[in-house]
Amino acid sequence: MIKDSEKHIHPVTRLIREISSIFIELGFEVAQGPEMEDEYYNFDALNVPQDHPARDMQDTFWLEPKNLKKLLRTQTSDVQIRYMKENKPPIAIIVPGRVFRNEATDATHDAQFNQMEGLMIGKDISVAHLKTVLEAFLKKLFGEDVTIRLRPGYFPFVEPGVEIDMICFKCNGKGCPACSHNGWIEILGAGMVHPKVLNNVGIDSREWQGFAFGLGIDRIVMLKYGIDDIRLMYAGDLKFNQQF
Amino acid sequence: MIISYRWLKKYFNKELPNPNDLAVLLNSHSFEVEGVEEKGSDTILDIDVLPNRAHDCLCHLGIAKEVSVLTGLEIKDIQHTDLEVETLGDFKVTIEDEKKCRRYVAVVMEGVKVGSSPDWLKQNLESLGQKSINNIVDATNYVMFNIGQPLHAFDKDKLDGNEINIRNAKDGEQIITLDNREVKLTSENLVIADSKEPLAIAGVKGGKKAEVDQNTVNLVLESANFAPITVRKTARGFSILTDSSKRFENEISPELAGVAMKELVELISEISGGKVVGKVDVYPRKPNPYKVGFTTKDANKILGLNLSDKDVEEILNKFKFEFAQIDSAKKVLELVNDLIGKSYKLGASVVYDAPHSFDCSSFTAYLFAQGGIAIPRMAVDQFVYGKEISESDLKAGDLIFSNTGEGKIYFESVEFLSGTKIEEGVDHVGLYLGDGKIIHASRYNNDGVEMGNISEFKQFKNIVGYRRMVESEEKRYVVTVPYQRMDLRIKQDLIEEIGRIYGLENIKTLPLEKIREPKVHKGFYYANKVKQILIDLGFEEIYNYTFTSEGNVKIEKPLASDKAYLRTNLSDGMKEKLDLNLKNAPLLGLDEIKIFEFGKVFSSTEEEKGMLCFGVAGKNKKNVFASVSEAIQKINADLGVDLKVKENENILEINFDALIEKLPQPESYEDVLKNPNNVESKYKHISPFPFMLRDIAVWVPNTETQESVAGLIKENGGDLLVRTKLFDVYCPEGKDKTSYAFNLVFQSNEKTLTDDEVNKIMNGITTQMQSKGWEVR
Repeated sequence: MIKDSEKHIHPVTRLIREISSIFIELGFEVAQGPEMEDEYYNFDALNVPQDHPARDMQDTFWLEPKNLKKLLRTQTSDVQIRYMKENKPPIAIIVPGRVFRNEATDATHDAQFNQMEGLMIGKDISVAHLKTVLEAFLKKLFGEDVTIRLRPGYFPFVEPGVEIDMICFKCNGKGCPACSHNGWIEILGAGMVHPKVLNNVGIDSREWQGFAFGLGIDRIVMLKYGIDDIRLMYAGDLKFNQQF
Repeated sequence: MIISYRWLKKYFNKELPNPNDLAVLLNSHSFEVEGVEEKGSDTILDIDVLPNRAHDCLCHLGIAKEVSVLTGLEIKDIQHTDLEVETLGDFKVTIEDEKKCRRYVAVVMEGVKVGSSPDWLKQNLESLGQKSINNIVDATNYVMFNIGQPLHAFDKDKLDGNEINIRNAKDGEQIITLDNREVKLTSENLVIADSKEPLAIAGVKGGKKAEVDQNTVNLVLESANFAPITVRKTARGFSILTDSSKRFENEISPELAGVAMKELVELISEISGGKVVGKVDVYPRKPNPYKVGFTTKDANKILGLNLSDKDVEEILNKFKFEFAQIDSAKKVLELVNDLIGKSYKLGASVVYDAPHSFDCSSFTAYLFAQGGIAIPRMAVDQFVYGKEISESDLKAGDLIFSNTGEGKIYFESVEFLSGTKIEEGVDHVGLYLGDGKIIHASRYNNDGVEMGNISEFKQFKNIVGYRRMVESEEKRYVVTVPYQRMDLRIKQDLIEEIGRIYGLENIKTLPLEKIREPKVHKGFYYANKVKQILIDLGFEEIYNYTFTSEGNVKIEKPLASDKAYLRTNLSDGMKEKLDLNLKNAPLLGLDEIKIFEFGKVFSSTEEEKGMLCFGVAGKNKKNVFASVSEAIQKINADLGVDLKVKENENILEINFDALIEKLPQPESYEDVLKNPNNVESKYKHISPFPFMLRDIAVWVPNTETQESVAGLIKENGGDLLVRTKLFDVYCPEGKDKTSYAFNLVFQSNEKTLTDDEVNKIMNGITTQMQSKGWEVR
């Protein structure tokens, strides 16, 4: 048996385990879904109709033949739809998984990366509860000193939509390259699930309401460890993996 | 959206907060401000306007209105003179398809003097990075960036015939755009054409034929509204993305076209003279303003706040919204009398056809919308939406549903909770007025909307049910949505406004209880369990790319030709990485490479499988297979499965989904999600340069330890010595000395090292050792 210090875990796995554990403790169930998806689950059910500018917010890998309307999922929100179709509220799930974006790759963008999405639906789950859960989560992940702020955002599948920033843990808000000299790091997108999304899956939005949120795992890994190139995560080169 | 602070200021009489403070304000309540940059005497704000506000905020007026709401500063009430002329005489404007072109305002101006724009205009455009062309074109651009309506000017004398046709292009028609690009059109593209040929690609780009130049004297001005999908498909199809196409793509209100034309004409008259000779406004379907309703209770429930009516009204007033707090049920009943006799139209639109024509369910939908209650559009959906009540509980304001037996009957809901079954079938609805009276719109009535006793209408012979749409007596705020705010359609949209103006930072956290003990996800549990088994045996996890150069599922627009397929297995990638890492083994300080991957593979567009793949590579074949066996045995033992390994196999790929299928559902995650150690260390940048190997063996007195020898080596090896690994210890019996042998790896972060450079370091180490009396072998 080797020493603990000689055990290596891929930093993405490490973070997925950490984040999942925090949410499981808060009562969230892990859900997973396919990477190869139908347009319906990835867009239509999430209130992103065809030919809508909102589709530009995510560049998509469509698969051939086109008439099948299959794609590589652009976010793990597709699993929310699948889960809600099979399970009645109240619901609390988190979904870790690989997602794909059809955009040019560079040090901070890769065509595949990992996301963690969450969904909580209940009788009166509100924005205040969203704040509670996410603040508790971020404190467990980054420490008690975490300060967050909510500001208006837009995603087609939530309304109200918010962006959540936290004070940069590298420079404590003073400003540094990690936070683009802003002092704040954009860490989560979130919002109250759009009534159309709920009604689409047979959940009456007048009876049930709740929030959804998403975060980019690779990005947090890179920030946490000071990794300068996202592509290192998928290079399979132990010179990198061994450091973790 | 690039916004000029100086331009913004023009909307206000009082001082605005300085640009940085303004940016902070906008950031916390409205949009992300991506940059604030000083440009000469102006400051430029780069505001990220997302699709939901692209209808009204891709212009200075829209942003100014936001600023007004946030600061309380009044916007100047700028009125533009009405155009007195009403007709265009001989000049004809025809719209072929009302769905593609919702409005076309054309104005003819004569006697303009085309020249360079006044300085203030040039300056404004320049601050947005826009070129000044001439006073006419600049005016159209100015008004667009001012209020968000794209505009165009044609030289009237260059037109063939006395007409403008907004039509589909004919396949094969061509146009040369203003920037000299020859574009071949198809019937999918909407064009603005004269009697002979296209003059412009509608909403996207103007053509050279009717270009306004310094000789132009007479103009045809266009202020129009084109369907977003048409413009988007055309613009993207030709890769001609303009400020105009962007705005139409995101949809703007057709109401804007009228306002913009007034402003444009006024501006052109001012800076280049000219007289308006005629105007035509083809506006086939004018939309009614949307009415959206919500209660303070609704807002508090979504936001998790405790606002009072007063708080809500204060915010609505900041927006200067037209609103009233009403009793919805009462309102619905108040409106019915005025609608008696209105015509029937199958499929009537609540937005466009009401209050002149209705079908049965657009009638009820319209009434409740006026009361601030959004009910579904179709009768069958309204039936599922409403609260079921018995005949004895029926009261005025409730809806009565029936099956007329004629025409299409619906047996399941279509849009609301779609698929909900209704055994008896529904196709008709009317509003109950009390005292046995009903009002409804029906094609079988003589006069469209009719009121009378339920018993006198054959459509209600077969009543299927009664539904209540308004639950409580609670008064509701009903907001008449300004035409520019196309993002405000449902109550959640208004509640978002309440939340962000009240301040998201003011929402306090609320305690929450766990719903239940979460179920364990079987796949997640076992995957992590196996990961831990392998990690504990010294395997390292890798993640490979899903894209490969060959496979069964092809990507339509891959990033590279060798990434055009989805992988069908993990083994190919595994082999590649084993080879890569084996080459680096000395640098890694490993004798054996042991790696694994969990991932999805795709054998067809119907099949996705979760696989586990692990492999071992090393110089000693026996050890390699021993490591593979060890892993298999441990997995078999801990999981209770029976994996077999073929002889001489160093890579194993297993269908993990299938493997765990028969395994029991775990009751808890136990320890499988625990990370065995903490990684505090910061990642060290990996050098891309090749490494160099050296060995050194030395006899030292037995009083020396392995650590002291290694220590000396590291000290003298310097930064370029990246790894020191002991590979042999020889302690002959009876002797008072021991031989230690080390592998040394040298690598630089900046360049490829030369033999000479490394030799120099080795000499340094050797010299140091010899000075201590050690014998280098």
